[in-house]
This record gives sequence, C-alpha cells and structure tokens, in this order.
Amino acid sequence: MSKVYKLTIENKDIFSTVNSFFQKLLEEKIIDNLLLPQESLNSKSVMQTLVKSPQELGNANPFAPLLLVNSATLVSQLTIDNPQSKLGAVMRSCEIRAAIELAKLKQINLERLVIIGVDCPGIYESTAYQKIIEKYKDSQSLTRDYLSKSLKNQLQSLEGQEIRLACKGCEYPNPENFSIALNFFGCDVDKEIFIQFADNFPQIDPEKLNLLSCEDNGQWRKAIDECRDRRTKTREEIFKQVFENIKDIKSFLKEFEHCRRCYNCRKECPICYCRECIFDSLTFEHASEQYFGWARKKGKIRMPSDTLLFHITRMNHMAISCVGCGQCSSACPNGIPIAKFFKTIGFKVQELFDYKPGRNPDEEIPQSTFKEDEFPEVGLGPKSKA
Amino acid sequence: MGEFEPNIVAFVCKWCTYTAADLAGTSRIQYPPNVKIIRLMCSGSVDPIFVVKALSQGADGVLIGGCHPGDCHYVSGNYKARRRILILKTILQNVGFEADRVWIRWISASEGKYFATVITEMVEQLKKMGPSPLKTAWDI
Ligand code: SF4
Ligand code: SF4
Repeated sequence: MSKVYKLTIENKDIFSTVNSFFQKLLEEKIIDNLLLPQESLNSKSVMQTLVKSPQELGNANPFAPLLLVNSATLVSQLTIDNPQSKLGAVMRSCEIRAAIELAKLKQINLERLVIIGVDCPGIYESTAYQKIIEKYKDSQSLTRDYLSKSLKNQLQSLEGQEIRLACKGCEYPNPENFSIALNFFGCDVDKEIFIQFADNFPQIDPEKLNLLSCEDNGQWRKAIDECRDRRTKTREEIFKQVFENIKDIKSFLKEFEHCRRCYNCRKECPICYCRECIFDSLTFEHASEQYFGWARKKGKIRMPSDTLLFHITRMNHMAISCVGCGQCSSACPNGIPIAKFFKTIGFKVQELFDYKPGRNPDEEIPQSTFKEDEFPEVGLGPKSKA
Repeated sequence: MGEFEPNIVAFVCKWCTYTAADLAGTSRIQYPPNVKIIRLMCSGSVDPIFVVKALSQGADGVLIGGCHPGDCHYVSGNYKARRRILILKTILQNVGFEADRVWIRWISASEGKYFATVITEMVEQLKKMGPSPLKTAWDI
C-alpha cells in the first residue's frame, strides 16, 4: 500500500497549487531537476522542459492534453550516463511503462529517476490541439475545460476534435510504478486532488509539502475503474476491427500503401532505441543489379523496396514491449494508423508469455530469457519421427 | 508449366541439423531437391529478419533447424530460437501471412533419415498450400 495525501487546491487554481508542490520538491532537494511539460508563450503549444530553477515553473502544465514526445526517450538521455543527481519526471502511464521497458533494455537508470505519475484522460493529436487552442487564451484554460469535462465523462470532443484513437483504447488511465502520483480522477479539480507516494519512497514531511493526510481514496479508485472498463471495451472493438480488416497479407499491405518510408514511426517509438537501426545500416542496400533482377522476375517492384520487411521487422523488435502510446501514429505524415496494428499484434505476442510491458521492472523481456520446458510442441513434426 | 515446385530456404545449425543433412547425403537417402541450405553456427543465430527477407524474396517456405532442446552446442541457443521463431510466427499469422510456411524442427546430427522426412513433409505441405503470395506481390 502506498501513502495517500490530499492536496487542497488554492484559489481554484490547480496549476499554481501543483506548481508550488513541484517547487517544493526542488527546494527540499527531493529532486534535483524536473522534466515536465510547459506552455510556450509564443504558440500556446506545450513542450517538455528540463527545469532546474524553482522559479521557472510558471508556465508548467503537467495535465495538458498534448504530448509531442514520449518522455521515456528523454529520461533515457538524462539518466543513462548515471548522473549524480536525481531527475524528477512528470509522466503519464504510457510514458512510465515505456520507461520501465527501456530500463530493462539498459537504456534508463531507474535509480536516478523519480517518476511523478499523472492520471491521463487522453490527449489530442498535435494538429487537433492546434485547432482547439485557437479558441482559448492559453493552454491552462484549455486544460481546465478538458479536465472538468473529461472527469464528468462529458468529453465527447473539444471544438469538434476528439482524443487520439490510442488513448480511447488505453486501458491504463492511471500511473503505476511511480514514486509520486498526482491522481485527480473522481475529484473536483477546483478543490482537491490526491497525492500518492510509493512505499519505498524516502520519508517526506507532509506539512512541508502542504499535504493533508487522508485515508480513503475510494472515489478515485471508482472513477479509474469506470474509465478502465470503458476503454477496455473500446480496445476490444479496435482489436476486433483490426482482425476483421486483415484477412490476408494483401489487406495488410494495403494499409501501408501510403507509407513513404520516412521512419518517423520508428524515430518516435520509445522502444526503438537503437543507435543504429538495421534499416539505417547497409544490410539491405543492394547492388542495382539485384533490384533489376527482382524487377525482371516480377515485372515491376515497388521502390523503395522492403517496406513490408521494415514494418514486420520493427514489430519483431519492439512489439513485445509495445505500450500502445500511439506516438507512431501521431508521427506518421500520411496518417497511417500504425499504432492500431502494432498494439493489436503486440498484444498477441505478449500473450504468448503472459507478459505485460511496463508492469514490473524486475521482469525480464521475453526474448532475453527462456524456460527449458515451455512450448514442448514447437519443433515437433506432424508425422512421427522416422 | 509443370507441377508447382516449392522453394524452401533452410537455416540450419552447424552442429546438428547441417550434420544430419550431410549424413542424409552420405547415406544416399533420397529427398526432394527443393531446399537451399544455409549453414549457421546455431539456430540461436537465425535473425528472424532473414526469415522475412527470404519470404519476401520469393521463398515459399523457410525451415529453421537446430539441435534438440537440451542438446545445443552453445547450451541455450535453441531455447532462444524457439521463443524468437514463435514470436515471428505469431506476427506473420496476424499480418495475414500463413505462418505454416515457417517451420522449426529439432534434428540431431545422427538423424539423417529424419532430415529427409522433414524436407519431404514440408514439400508436400507447401505443394498443398501453393506458391507464397509474396512471390508475385510487387508492392512489398
Ligand atoms: S526497427 Fe529494430 S533495429 Fe530499428 S530501431 Fe527499431 S528495434 Fe532497433
Ligand atoms: S511514419 Fe508512416 S510513412 Fe513514415 S515510415 Fe512510418 S508508416 Fe511509413
């Protein structure tokens, strides 16, 4: 059981209240640096910032419905060389789960990281966000509207825009594996939210952080469970639709016909961490004669070739750890719903090993281990041995 | 055109399955000539990407051959191969490609006859399945 506290919202302003909480984490040296989303005053966009000075939190918006990068990638950069300091990072569930996978892949040092998890009602594509924000004075007022509507389950759309498909089918509305969590589901965010500390988190002085002790957060649990159930249903519908659509390899290829092989999906994927991806290497750069040969054989071939090879190989490399964050779809310039396929198929692969990416940092990634007595049927022929 | 003759690429380990293929040859055991054998040090060194590459370049089937579980020359290569190929087959199945075109078989150095049986069975099955759809697809 983790320790739960209440944070009373001052002056109905969740942003300034939460910001002073963050400020204190920095001042009390609970963390040395803080990675969190802040609004840019030029464009009202919200981007990740690395903050050292507690005075530089004024535009922070840890709940903004926009995520330009999965911060697990940034956390990797900021912890991998084992710095002396502690990094605090405000992360949603999909970012935390990706970070846990990256830690297993030795790309994140969890010892240097204080994960500050936040509940997540879902986010918008950047293009949708840009349309919505035109109607608001700043990201905080947009976020306030978005929070109050989504917490009352009334968020069909904002200014005609819907949240991303990946979020609609995300069965993880709340953070797990956090050090500190900001929970606001089931709350009136003008009045109070809950702050949880993990069991193994060093003792804090609640008074210094303006926290009130509290026992029961059943209202939060109930709201989270409802949201999870609703989204799990949506997820099942998405899975069903994917399987109905992919009847054969031709129908799968059809989905990727618009692929221009820009590799944005790979670049934005938090799990695709390789310094040199095999597709940037010379492995599949063939001599011109090879291509002419294939063209001769088939009459014509698509160029650049090996698009199917790229997507199947990427799946092979990362599907077991796919957390369904949806960043690949968001990054695709041609609007291919990549995440839908990768999450669905990833789920099938994960099922083989009863593996849930991001569930537990102590679990091993299935490819890096084995059991001697598993899958005894694999490798045996249909007929008895002659 | 005569009867469809499947094209099989076999990735086999040096210690067991390749030696079995050799034994089949020296023992003059007959099996269909549809297979192109590629020798690797271990079934654990078969990168699934090469299986997919072979399929996308027109192989009708791919065989991965290794030592029986427990007998790997490198202790655990075949256990790792088992997981990798299972993952690959699951992905192939779910992108709409017949995963039955990819076989993994444990064939020890002494099982020359069994090697011939596996190839015969595989050719039979692939003949039933017909040519791989990737063989003619130009838009891959
Ligand atoms: S596709 Fe594979 S090799 Fe390329 S970055 Fe992703 S995991 Fe690495
Ligand atoms: S981002 Fe889209 S267009 Fe670019 S490689 Fe990925 S699927 Fe293809």
